[in-house]
Amino acid sequence: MSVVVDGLTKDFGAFRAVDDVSFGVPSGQVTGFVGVNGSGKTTTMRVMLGLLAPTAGSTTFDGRTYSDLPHPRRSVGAVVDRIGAHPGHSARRHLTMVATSAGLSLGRVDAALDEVGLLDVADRPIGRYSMGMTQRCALAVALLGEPETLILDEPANGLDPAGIRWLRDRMRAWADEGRAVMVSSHQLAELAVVVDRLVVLRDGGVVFVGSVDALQSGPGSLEDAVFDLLVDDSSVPVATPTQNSTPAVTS
Amino acid sequence: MSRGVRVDALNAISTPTAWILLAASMVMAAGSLTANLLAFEVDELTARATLQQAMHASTVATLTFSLVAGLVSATSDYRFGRIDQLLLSEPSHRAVVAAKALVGAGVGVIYGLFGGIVAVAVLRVFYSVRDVPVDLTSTVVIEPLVGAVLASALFGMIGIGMGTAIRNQPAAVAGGLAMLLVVQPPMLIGLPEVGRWLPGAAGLSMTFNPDDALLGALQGGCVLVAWTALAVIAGWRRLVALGAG
Ligand SMILES: Nc1ncnc2c1ncn2[C@@H]1O[C@H](COP(=O)(O)OP(=O)(O)OP(=O)(O)O)[C@@H](O)[C@H]1O
Ligand SMILES: [Mg+2]
Repeated sequence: MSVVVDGLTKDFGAFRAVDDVSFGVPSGQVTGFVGVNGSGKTTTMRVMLGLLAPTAGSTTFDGRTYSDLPHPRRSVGAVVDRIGAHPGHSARRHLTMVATSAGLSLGRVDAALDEVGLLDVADRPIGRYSMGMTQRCALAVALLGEPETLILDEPANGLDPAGIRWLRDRMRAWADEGRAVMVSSHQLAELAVVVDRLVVLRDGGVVFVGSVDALQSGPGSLEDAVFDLLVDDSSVPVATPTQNSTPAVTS
Repeated sequence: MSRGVRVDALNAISTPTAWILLAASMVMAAGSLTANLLAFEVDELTARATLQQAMHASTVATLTFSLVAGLVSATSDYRFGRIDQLLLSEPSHRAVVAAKALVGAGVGVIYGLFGGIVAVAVLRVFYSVRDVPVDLTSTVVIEPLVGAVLASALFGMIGIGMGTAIRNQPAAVAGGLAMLLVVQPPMLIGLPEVGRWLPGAAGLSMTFNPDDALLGALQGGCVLVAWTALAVIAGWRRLVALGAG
């Protein structure tokens, strides 16, 4: 399953968070999604998944929008920016509810928990999980439907070194199995090890789409090449409405 | 949508808040019924009007808590981001809101039934302690309880609709309670030609409340159904417009 994002734009009131973004997430590859804080990565991913209505543009999964997929959880697994569970519910209950709501086999619940290493603590309330445990739980939810496409928003956040290595190996394996993997991250060096392609956002707009090789043509690391795309001065960059190079247009 | 109903029902029974609110509604129903009965002399207890007034107090508690339960449930889905996971499983906003509204109605029915059981139990004990005969199967007792079950189901759905539209939990709960307990009672007294059409008053009509300013039970029921539809549609349209946030 390949994903095509076409002319995606998202306004929050007068502020344009995502500006005419187009890129593809081909199957069999890991596509990295980078940009400074506030550059629009999470917003783009939430619009792709139908969690936010786009102002303009579309996202298709093998030609269908997310809402037209016959079994969305079997087609697309997602880690979004919040766990989306009642803090009093255990991971097992949370996954059971997701499986129920998606019509997935309940047998997948323990399998997914086992895969992310949460089986031993599966009955503890999520509200008492550590950051990394919460993140593993989010990954387990993404894996529940054994999806063909994975859209992961900063999935490595809070993971311990073993977890980061596990995730890196899994992303590689998923892609090698023919799945499409999209992953946002700020860990450029870590990302450089696993991604085949990169989409670089700046102020809500795409400044680079293409293979890692194309970006890394000159001397220096991939990290340096991406860093040069993200920033053009030495100050710590954070995208803000006033910094937005494209004035917001609401028409 | 049936999967949505299952998962929302599962969520309702596995969330402590829902049980705490149910217990609170039963305590309130029992408390206000008892307080009302205590205000009467023993020789007044057999009067139809006495029972009517006492039953009315208990049903108001039930309806109020049913509304609050709906508001808390719907706004919790935003507060904890549960709405993300619901939409990822069922991308149709209409199906998600419809499932939530149906479960809200089911929870309302449970509030109505438990409120009724509490009311009958309190009446039994109170009248036997006072050694006054009471017919617990008379229409004065049964009509308000049946009406409360139905009105409570609609209030549960209104809570879901309003909560889905307002999103912010404190604002939604405060707004719902203010609408029911602060704005409407004086309007019913001061401006009954308007006040009787509001949701709170329509709910009271459904419980066969004897207040002259109110609509009839059936008419009140129709008005409350209209308010319910309005609230649920408002929640659905707001979810479509804003997404999961
Ligand atoms: N619901 C919202 N209402 C208004 N503005 C929003 C909303 N959500 C996001 N934004 C704004 O949109 C911009 C992009 O935010 P987004 O979360 O997509 O960035 P990001 O690239 O994921 O950042 P980070 O690396 O910090 O996760 C930011 O300026 C943010 O303030
Ligand atoms: Mg983000």
